[in-house]
Amino acid sequence: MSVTTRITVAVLGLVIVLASMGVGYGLWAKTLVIDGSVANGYINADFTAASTNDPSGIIDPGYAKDVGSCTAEVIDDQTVTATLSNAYPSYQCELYVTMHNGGTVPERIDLVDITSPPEITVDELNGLSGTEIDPGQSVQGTFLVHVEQEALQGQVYTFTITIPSTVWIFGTPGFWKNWDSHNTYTQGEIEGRLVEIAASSSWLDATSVADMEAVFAAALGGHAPMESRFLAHYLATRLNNASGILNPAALHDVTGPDPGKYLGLATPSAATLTEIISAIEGKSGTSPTKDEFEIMKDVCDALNNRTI
Amino acid sequence: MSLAALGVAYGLWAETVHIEGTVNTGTADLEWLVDESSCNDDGIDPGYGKDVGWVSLALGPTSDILEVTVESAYPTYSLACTLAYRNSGSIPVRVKTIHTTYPNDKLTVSYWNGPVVQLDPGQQKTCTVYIHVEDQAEPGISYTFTMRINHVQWNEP
Repeated sequence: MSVTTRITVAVLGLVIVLASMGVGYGLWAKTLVIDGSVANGYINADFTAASTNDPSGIIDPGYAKDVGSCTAEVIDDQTVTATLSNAYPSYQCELYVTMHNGGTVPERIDLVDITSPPEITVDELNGLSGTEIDPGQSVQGTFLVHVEQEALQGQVYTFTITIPSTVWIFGTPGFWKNWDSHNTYTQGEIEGRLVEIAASSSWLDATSVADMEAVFAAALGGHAPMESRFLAHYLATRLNNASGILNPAALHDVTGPDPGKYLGLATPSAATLTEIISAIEGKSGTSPTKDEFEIMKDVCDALNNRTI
Repeated sequence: MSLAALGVAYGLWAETVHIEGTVNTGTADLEWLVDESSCNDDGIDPGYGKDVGWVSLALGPTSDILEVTVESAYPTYSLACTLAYRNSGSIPVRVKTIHTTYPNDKLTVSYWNGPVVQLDPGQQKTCTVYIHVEDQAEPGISYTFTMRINHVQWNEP
């Protein structure tokens, strides 16, 4: 082989290698992007409006004169300021705030916490507490601010209303464990899926929500066996599959949680949920070690949190 | 972190928003407008032909207390003052009575304040006070008495 031929072959070989790397990189990157777009739900319940029933120039509520006034303003997404001016004992006004869920997952407003001095009473009228806001939806909260007789003239009093909101990430064990808090699915719906899962699984036999809660409870605590922790995540994965939260045909790269290819997937960088479940079921009866349970737990955990 | 360590993440995201409230209370104040020319003894003693007695007016410890001093007076010396006061606060008030404290064996003080009214901030009202020096008054003594405006917040009964 001449020198020219050798160089040509080397260059062609290099091109092929680079092309292969490029294709591989491209697929990997694409998978990441797709997964990312599916996984990254976000929460974003913000204040969008604030007002009162006694702005300046309006007759005081319950009286015949315009003496006090009450204004509210959205300072930023997370903060509303309310100011009562020239207030006096028995003066009161209603404060209205609108919260909008600009996120991608439903949010539930938890118990509203109100802190005020004894001279000021703040009550939540139409409760925000416990309200659920779907993505794109808004809710209005009303608070009554009342100045008590103990209030002194020429004073400044402050109060704070703290509105916490939370969202259960759809599909985590916590989501399923708290099924009766968010009521995304009825008990009947869940138990119907549990029966289907139990019928097709060698790992799982829960057929009632009580059984399901027991599986999740067994995984709690720092000393919970790795097998119990795996079963909790796997049950969540199966429920996600049965409920359509996870797409059975979507591709997942499990090479992160399973670098040693314990599950034996044909294409671990692009395995369908159905293939992963099948691989996990295939481990039943093989007496996995603690590390192997941890691998399966990590795979299911990543699936439930949409990080793969 | 603890939950994560347990391996069963609750999957809980949380955020908190706040309403920060400030309540500025107004003031319910009245003040006497000190004007000695409001008395009918601007020289010659009323009812007499000489200028002997007189009164002086001054604000007390707070602006709703007026101190009235009868100077160089004598038994039967009498006069009337039409005194003005105004709402110097930011909250309407209701004026109920004028409370007077005076040495009743030396002086007799009465007043006419009219019906109970509501005064808006800046608004004025007058009260006429009648002063009579009794026979028991001692010579060479100035007698001072106070007039305090009893008022309540406008929305109180």
